[in-house]
Amino acid sequence: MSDDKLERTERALDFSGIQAPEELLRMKRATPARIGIGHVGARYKTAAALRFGADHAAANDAAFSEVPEDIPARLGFFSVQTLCRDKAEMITRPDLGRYFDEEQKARILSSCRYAPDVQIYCGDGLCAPSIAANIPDLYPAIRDELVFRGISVGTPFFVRYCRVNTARVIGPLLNAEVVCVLIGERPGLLTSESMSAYIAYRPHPDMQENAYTVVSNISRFGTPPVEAAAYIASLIGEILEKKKSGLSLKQNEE
Amino acid sequence: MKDVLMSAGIDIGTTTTQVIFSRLTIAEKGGFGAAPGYAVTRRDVFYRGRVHFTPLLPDDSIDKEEVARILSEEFESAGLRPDDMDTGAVIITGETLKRANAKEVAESIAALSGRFVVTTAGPHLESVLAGKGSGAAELSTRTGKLVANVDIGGGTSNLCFFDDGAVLDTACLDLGGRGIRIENHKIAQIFPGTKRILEAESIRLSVGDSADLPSVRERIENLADVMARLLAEALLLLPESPTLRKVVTNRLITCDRIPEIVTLSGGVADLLGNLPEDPFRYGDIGAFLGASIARNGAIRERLNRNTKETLRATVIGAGNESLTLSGGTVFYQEIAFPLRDLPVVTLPMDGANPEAYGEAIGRAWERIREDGETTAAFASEGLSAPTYEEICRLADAAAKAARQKDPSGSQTWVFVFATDMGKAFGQAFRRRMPPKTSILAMDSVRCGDEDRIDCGDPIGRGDVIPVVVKTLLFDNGERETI
Repeated sequence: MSDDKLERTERALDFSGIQAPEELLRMKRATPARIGIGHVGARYKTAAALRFGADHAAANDAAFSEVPEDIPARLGFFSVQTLCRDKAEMITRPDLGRYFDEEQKARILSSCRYAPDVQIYCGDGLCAPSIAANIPDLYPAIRDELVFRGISVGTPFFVRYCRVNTARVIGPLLNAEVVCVLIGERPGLLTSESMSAYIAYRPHPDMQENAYTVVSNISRFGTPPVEAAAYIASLIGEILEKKKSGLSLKQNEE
Repeated sequence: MKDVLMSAGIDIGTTTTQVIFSRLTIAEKGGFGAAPGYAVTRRDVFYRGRVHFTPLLPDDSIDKEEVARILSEEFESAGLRPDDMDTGAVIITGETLKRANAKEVAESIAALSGRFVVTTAGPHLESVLAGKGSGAAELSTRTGKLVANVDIGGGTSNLCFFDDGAVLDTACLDLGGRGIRIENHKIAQIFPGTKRILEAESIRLSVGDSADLPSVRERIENLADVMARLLAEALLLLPESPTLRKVVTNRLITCDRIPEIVTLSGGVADLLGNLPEDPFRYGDIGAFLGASIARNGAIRERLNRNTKETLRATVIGAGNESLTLSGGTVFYQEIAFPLRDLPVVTLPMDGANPEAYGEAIGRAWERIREDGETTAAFASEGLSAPTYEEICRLADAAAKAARQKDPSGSQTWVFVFATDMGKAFGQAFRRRMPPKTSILAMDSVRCGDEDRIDCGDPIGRGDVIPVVVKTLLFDNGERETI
């Protein structure tokens, strides 16, 4: 566990009545779970309850907040929106988060390079803060390595109210050989800025879920964005070479 | 992926020569979507060779041919060939290290398999391997207590303190069960370390004394009691006497924490308790030392007798524990694995001052050339979750220095980080170097100045490097050459 995370949960540590505090700390370092926080009767102590409440609120905020308007522009990305009209609809109607209306599709088509080897775009998913937290390091690192390898990279953009399966629409629309969606992960109580990369070879509306190659837990608390980027770039290279992704890519090597 | 590695451990010690073979199971860590990471999850010793006396020639050098014969006998008896091995460690330990032809013997064993790591293990590494092989490291993890292992061999005793599985400190004493050799009921040889103890403690024993005389036997018992006391002193369980300084091989324990549990390994660990009927059965004073240790109150009150391995602790440590795995995201190109004996140079790395990193690489490169080395592993702690800009600026600075020293990109550049940034840095560095430059960048490996590292063939999906970090220095700065 990173010191940062430890520091956050350690504040709620309760040493009263503990005979071997060193031992408790050792166990604490082995798990991100909220152990050793004491109790009053059947209840949490105040500090632990507040910490829990604060982390829960941060997770809620991450899921329900919007990516500020200026963030995509600052990253040099243009923005489009799925069929969802607002966050509430995005949460309650996963199906609408996969599709775009004709106007948005035309916008994507006219703004983007057609038929790139790889189309990379990012989406808020269930974690708005993940975009500003990770994309500035994640995206250029992937792009630079792919370009160096002679792989053409499409025009990046940002999708508001985005679900992973937008890839089934974007891939055929732009005729991209590989699509890589960088999308906010459902937040937990430990991190509220993680994102995942979902990568598919020639995604299409009838593809299986297991055709996605996934890199998850990208954040400064998990796999650091730059290191994840280096790994994602190699994966994309491999997927282009073998012309498959997801489970069949893994099965191939075993 | 290949998930089981065959490993050999070969230990040529003062008294005994031992061979073990083990299977190391490698498994992928992490769940769905996790970036690759691997760990050794099982270590099964499936073959334990006989315990051979280390063959010596009349001039006290190692009998190389006899060692070769022992090895081929053990391979044959296990139904294996040296080529079946994926990795392995050959270590020459204790007094044997001081034999004139130790280097030559090590090299001849190395020739058996290109995958063997050959090292004339210094006292520090030997202490660590024995402590891990004996199970002391694991015991400290399991109990959360400070565990000290003492591996008592023929010529030396190796101490290692473990705190939660991590090495806290080591020490080595010129004190062992074969400190006096008995032949035909007479004292045949007294090792120099033992001589120093006898002098300091005014115990009169000489070569030729009859071991059957009650007075001589009493002095041997006296000596064994002193040796046990010295071990307790070295373990920080008793106040230090002037004699202790006279038997230090390389260094004493310097940490200020007193072990809560003491474990014993090595041949003498099997001789704790009352003296057997024929105490000179092994031709030395090991049985006396074992009895004295068992009687020593300071050691006894902390002693855990359930050591997993005793006599074979060091060789099992060599076979099982010398290999570590890099992080699962590494970068390499144009590298002819294995890379052997790369000297480690540690360099400070500061994201705010990348130029200093580049300059340090330039200086380090000059220095290793002056030392007659062709390449080195540049090791840094690394940055935790660096920004892409930091990675680019560090790679700029590193590549600038590298291109200045190696304009055509014909050298091998190896970078090691403790934090998770190996692949990111490696790719960024590669993009700034001439094509086809040999580059290896890996992480999750810790090593220090004056260590040397071996890097084996990548395993897993080719994304993890088996690494052996060899700590080969005596504290006086004299390198143990291979």
